[in-house]
Amino acid sequence: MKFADFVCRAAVAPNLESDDKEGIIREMTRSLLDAGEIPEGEYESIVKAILKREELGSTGIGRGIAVPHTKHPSVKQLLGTVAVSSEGVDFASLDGEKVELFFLLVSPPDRPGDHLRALENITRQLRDDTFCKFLKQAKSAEDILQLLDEADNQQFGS
Amino acid sequence: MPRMPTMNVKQSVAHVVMRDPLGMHMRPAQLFSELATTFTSEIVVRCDTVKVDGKSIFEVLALAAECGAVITIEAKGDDADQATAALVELVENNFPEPTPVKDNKADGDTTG
Repeated sequence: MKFADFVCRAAVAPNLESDDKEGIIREMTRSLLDAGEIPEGEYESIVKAILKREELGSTGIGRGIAVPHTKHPSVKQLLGTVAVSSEGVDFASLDGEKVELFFLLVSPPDRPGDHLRALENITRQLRDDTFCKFLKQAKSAEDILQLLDEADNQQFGS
Repeated sequence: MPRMPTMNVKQSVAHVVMRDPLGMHMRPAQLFSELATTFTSEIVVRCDTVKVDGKSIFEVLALAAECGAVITIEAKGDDADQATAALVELVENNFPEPTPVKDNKADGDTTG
């Protein structure tokens, strides 16, 4: 699976304003709503489901990266968005470091394989320090999308 | 020049089938890598053609091991046997959560 298969291009956000976990999740889910990817009436329910998943254990998996996610019956296909916080946010990460780079995933309950392959793609690509560093430094949605496209075209070692 | 130790390094290999219907998603990968880290042995995990460091959640997620996939756990070091036994048990028992710290444990409505 490639980023292009699940990242909603119109929802990518380079400058997150929130400074806490719930705020970040709300802001990113809002970007999916604003992009027309999720129905307005499901916004709160999706946010709550993602927050509930975080209670189980932070999705801040270290190296300044978090992948908040949930299954949700309102989506028909895997939806993802990417966002950057230049300041970094305390996300209760596994390594205790602040998180600057976020991948948020909402997947249909009956498609666990897609979710798994998206996680595989994200973690495989982010093992590349250069890709990771450039994404964290991205200042515009165009920067982020270009980096994702380059990764899809295997322009980073992985 | 110091003499190199010649003692044999202990090795242990085990195979186990992924039973979690969602495969090796984030929560299992976290529990797996955290348990692996408690051992001093070097731990390598394979699934199909992918071979990763079992102590890194990034690497374990990159296995993308689906339900039904066979994963191979290879440990090398003093506690190799204990490491493979513990990790196999974790996978076979379908990644039980550690002792809960909350009263309202999350239900099955999450993708982990």
